[in-house]
Amino acid sequence: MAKEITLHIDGRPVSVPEGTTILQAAESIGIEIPRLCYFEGLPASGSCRLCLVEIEGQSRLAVSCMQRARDGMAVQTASKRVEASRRFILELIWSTHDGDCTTCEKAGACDLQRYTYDLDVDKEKYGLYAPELIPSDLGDPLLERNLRLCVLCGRCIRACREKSQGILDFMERGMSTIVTTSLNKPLADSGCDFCGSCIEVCPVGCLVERDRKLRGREWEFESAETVCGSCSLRCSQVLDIAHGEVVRARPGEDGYLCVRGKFGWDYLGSDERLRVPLVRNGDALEEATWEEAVSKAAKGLGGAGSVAGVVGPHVTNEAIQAFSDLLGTAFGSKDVTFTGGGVPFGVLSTFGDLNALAGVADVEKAKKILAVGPALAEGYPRARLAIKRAVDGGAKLIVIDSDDSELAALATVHLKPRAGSEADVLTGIAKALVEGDLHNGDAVAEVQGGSAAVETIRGSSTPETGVEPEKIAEAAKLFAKGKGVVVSSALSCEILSRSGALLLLTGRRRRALMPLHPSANPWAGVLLASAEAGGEPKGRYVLGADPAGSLPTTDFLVVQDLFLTETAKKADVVLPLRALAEEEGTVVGTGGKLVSVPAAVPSEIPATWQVLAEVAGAAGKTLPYGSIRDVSKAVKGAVSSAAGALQFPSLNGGGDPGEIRPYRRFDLPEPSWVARSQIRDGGVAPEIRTATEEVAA
Amino acid sequence: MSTATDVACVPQQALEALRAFAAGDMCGRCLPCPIATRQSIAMIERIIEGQGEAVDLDRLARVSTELIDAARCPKGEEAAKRLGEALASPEFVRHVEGICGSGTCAALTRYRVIPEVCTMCGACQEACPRDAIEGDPYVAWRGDNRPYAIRLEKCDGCGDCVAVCPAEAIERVT
Repeated sequence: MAKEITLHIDGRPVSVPEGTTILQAAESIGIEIPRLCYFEGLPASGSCRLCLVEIEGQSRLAVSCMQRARDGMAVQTASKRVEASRRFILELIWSTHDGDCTTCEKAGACDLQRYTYDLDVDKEKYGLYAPELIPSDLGDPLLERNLRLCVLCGRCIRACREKSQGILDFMERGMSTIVTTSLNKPLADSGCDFCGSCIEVCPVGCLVERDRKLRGREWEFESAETVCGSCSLRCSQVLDIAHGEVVRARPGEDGYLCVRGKFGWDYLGSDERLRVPLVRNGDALEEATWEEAVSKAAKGLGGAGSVAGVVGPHVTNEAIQAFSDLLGTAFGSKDVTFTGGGVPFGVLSTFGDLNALAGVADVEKAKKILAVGPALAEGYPRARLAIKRAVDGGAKLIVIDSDDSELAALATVHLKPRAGSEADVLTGIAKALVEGDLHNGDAVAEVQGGSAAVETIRGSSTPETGVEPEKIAEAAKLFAKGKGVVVSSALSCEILSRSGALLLLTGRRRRALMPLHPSANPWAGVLLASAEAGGEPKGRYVLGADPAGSLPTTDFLVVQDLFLTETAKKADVVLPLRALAEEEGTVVGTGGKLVSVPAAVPSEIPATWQVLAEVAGAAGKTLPYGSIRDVSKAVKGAVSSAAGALQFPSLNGGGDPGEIRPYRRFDLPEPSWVARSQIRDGGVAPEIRTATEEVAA
Repeated sequence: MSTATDVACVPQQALEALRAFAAGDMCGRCLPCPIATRQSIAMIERIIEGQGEAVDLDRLARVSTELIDAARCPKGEEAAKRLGEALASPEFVRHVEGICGSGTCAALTRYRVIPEVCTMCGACQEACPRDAIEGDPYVAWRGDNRPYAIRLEKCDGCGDCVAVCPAEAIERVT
């Protein structure tokens, strides 16, 4: 615990721990010192000179964002001399800031504008200097860079370094200094991954999302906190809504969004969204009222005789629960397939429940990280950031990747097997752990089949993977002790269950496994959907999934989705579906906990559970729910009662989820909205590899 | 820092010093220094060109005092102090009033032909690059030839005429 010191700021006493900067100390008692280059959470640079303050007994003004507070100090944050200096700096900035606040997107949220107003700065004190030399838009996709507005604060440079690829810097020197990429190349050619972290920190209108332009002023925005639904990490996300439309996404509490979260939300307001139900009339799908469509769906499914359901991993637990109930109650079917792929099975079969699921905070705090699977960093930038932060903090990283990927460059040990033999490398590490007596015998003994498995491993032969045994031994030694996690981008039950085995061998059971999945809610579906495969069904209801290619034809097909997908085109009744951001409910989060998500964006489409209840009603049955809370209660019950036992997985098989629970494979194409987002047009979004490869195999 | 200069004009010395600072010591990584220097250079250039205004002197004075506080490193501070020293000379005000004391700022320098000394040889007219000199060469039997005179609105003060006059008949008026 640092020593407390006391100082006076503007005559008011304040006590802070030693090491606090003057700026932070002032902030702790509500005194805001103007600043452009300082940004909380980024290293300070002291370059804008706006936060200068006067310290009694010191002739020079002090840079409050860098200078530490000292005991007994007397600081003036707004003396005449300080304000004169600030005004001078702002006058100078206005001589380079070729902007017009009336049309600038940042108006109302611009720090320069605010300080200019607060200090009544003469904007024309110094003449505007040759701005025509710099283009007002560098033409990058997704975001506009207008260097005529740049105030050289360098925040974006530091944000890019801390959170992303570190491609921005001060270029040129002296009076020609600009902030740009190396050789001033376009962002797309500089290794930018378009996370937009630079935009979040820009104090002025220099960096702006293209998509928000001319769609509303800052003060008209209503903000809604939600989670991004673009992968299983579900980063916190704030959606800004103006005139009933989402116009911008920002990182929430977590402080980071990748390109999918930052820019990939535009599908929400897409013209291609399904907003009214469609019913089949011969070859054509025609618009219908909800009543008509629901009754037709109920009648068609009811008349089909045997019905099956398919539900995707992008919807809430409540939607899955109500869907499963609808199939059971109204159509007497327990054949509900969840298309989340084999990954959840790999977790459930080993740990019995979902408590093993780790969150990004667990990865960031870990001391040992084992990362397995292709394009992990490229496909899941938030996981990359978590791993990078841990490594910067001294964590050891073992990477199993057949490519020299971005992550491999950070690795302490890079195991580079032949593609496809990643699971065998995990087996090899398990063997090295056991043979080196590095495993946690007591912890293993508590696991069903654990001690026997250890003996089996001891006697087994080492699978050939193309990795030198010494390297595997080194990895085993490294991973054996300390707070450890496994992060996997492989969508394979086999890799997940063997990762689980490694964690069980080393006594790590809670929040230790981070399987990455391209869907928002892939974990609970197998618990909520009553997957008892029946015979070939005559009628089928597909909710939020697009298994078109692998879906056998049925006599009657109902599809509920965001878009008219390939599957929906074949349907007899098509019902619109709320997106995750529009739906209240829960998803499964870190440690297997249920996380509530609000209906952040207003929607004209009824809530999914209500639609499903209507379908049940039209079929003459009633779902036992009066409100979304009732459905949530049922979800809670199902998830908690599903807790199974720890079970040591087989290190040879384990590749077929069907061995564990009834499971029917369907293709898992990328979410229906991805192709409809601007991030695809720009060609800048890294695709999540293995999204189709392994699951469809 | 380069300080050596053989120019006699104070604003020109100040300009040289700032240009040397911009090309040499300045890093440009903290905000006020590069912008203030760029602005100061532009203003002194205007003053030397005879387009300076009183407000420019205020602006320059502001740079010279405020940059001492605002600059991060001694180099920026030093540049500001040197500018302040230069501004203390009456030459800046005189330049804005249209006079370069040392006669080195061409834009502020003007000449006239002394008719009593002029031999009407015409050499100055030939030499003038701006065609600013009117007059006809001396022809004995003519009575209507115009005497040589410099049209001030065309003259840019280059002084080429002074150099070629064999009779030292051209003098500086400002």
